[in-house]
Amino acid sequence: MRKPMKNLLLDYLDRHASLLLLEIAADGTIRGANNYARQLLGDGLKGKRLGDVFLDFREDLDLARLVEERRKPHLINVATAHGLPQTFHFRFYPLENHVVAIGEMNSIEVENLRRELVQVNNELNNLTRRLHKKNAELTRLNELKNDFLGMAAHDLRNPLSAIIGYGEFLLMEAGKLSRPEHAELLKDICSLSRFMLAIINDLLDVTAIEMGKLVLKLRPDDFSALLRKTVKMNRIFAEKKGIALVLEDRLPPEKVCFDAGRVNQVLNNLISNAIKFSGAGTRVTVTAAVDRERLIVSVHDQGPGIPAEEMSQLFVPFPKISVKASEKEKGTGLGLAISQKIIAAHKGRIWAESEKGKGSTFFFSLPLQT
Amino acid sequence: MVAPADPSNPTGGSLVDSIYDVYLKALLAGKRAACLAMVQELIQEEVSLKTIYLDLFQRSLYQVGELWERNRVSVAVEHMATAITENAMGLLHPIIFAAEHCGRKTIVSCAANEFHQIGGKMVADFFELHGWDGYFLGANTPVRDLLGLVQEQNPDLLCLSLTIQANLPNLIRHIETARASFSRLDILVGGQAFRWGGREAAERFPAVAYVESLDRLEEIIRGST
Repeated sequence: MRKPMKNLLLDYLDRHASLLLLEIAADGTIRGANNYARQLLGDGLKGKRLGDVFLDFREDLDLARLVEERRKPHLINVATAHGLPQTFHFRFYPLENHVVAIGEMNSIEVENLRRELVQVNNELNNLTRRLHKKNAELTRLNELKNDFLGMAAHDLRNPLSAIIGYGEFLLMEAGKLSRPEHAELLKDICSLSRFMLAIINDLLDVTAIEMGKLVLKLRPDDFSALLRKTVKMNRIFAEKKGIALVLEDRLPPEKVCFDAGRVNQVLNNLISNAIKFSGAGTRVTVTAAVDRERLIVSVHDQGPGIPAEEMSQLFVPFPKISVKASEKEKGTGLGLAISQKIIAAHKGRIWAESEKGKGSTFFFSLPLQT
Repeated sequence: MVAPADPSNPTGGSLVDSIYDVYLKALLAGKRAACLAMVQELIQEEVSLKTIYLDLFQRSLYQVGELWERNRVSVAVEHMATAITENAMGLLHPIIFAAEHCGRKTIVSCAANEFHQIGGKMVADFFELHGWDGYFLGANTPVRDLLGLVQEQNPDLLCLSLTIQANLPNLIRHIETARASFSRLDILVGGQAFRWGGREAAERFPAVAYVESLDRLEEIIRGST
């Protein structure tokens, strides 16, 4: 090769080539580097020990041996100025009393890494597609279920109402029955029918809520008045069981914006549950107060309490709770689930605290909107 | 290339045309966020999925492919462009999977050793958009997995995608194996590789048809639903 060509090549290698060129002294320190090395590894290379630059270079590695093996490239990671290590194939050549290390980027490794990344990206996108598809299928199934529930509930409600009506009418004429035990049977028919109707109404409620048909009628109203009315109605059932039902109203007089019908449903559910799970001689306390920007209602009973491991199931439909009502009264299993949806629709929160043997307290909060 | 009129949104094609050059530039530069933002804008403007797929994704990827073949861009750029397009297709999932289902099913797969999967995925998405269940198996699908899913799902159609001509023998093996196990299963084949032939090799099997474009695929889907 002619001298001008050699000089051109040398100049190119020094200034522009993407090759790492390091001149290493016999004592293992760096004496010189090309432009690419300085850009990649940072300034101040001169005087640095090879071990400071080569991440997996061991001090006992024999430079002389590396030079002897110069046909064989050594895969070495270098510490770059950006902090991330980069892999190079290095060959070591003797030059006068120095060693020159020439490093080429490990293109095969990079190519393999890129291919791997592309495959991972593909798989991720495919998984996302499958997830969206499954989600859409589940949504369709849920809508189908809600449609079916709605239809079934509607078709069952009318005949049941008729059964209850006829049963109550016959009960009014109970004195004319030939056998007194028939009156008891009629009472059972009415009571069971009412319970079935309660389940159907709750199912319809849940279906409506899940289909997004729960529309709140929010109006400024007197929350304390609602509390007094609901507590008064439930006091009849409480007193029958020998339970004291107490109201502690600490609300300010200002009106609050809420759906009176739906919140009444929640209050009735919580209070009737508290009465159901309490025994004679105990007390159920309903408290209402304002805490910062929220109205908080709590219903505390002195019943058996709920085991800690069952607390997470409370607000799901048909929860499997081991605690039984004190007089074996039955519930539909949907009351708390519906209550949660109603309170969530108000942008509030419902939760419970309980300790086995010490009773339970159910809370709900509503944002104060006047 | 002039974008075809988009029946659902007559201005959709011209909207894509107006951003195409900027999109391609961002795609070649690996600017994922910019590309996704543009696609999101098209979705908000209610440009149809078909227009976005054909006039934006397919057009730009074909162009990237040509640039790579002519050594104007590196394979890294081509990989990045494919990855960005994959991500962008994900933005359309809510539209794709919202269609009402007609009860028909298809399985779409790529031949063994075929790593280009976007074409196949577009086909699966088209089926979903038209109310079919479009199961997509992804790149480099082993025949065993393909047959397993066909057995499980009992689809009305099997679609096989081929992008690289060299993989034609693998595709033929897929057809042979599928035909041996499921003699009555209708099979569609398609993909860029067929530009250089291979159609006859596939169509010599009974009930196997070559589909040359997504437009033609749409006609078939509409005809059979």
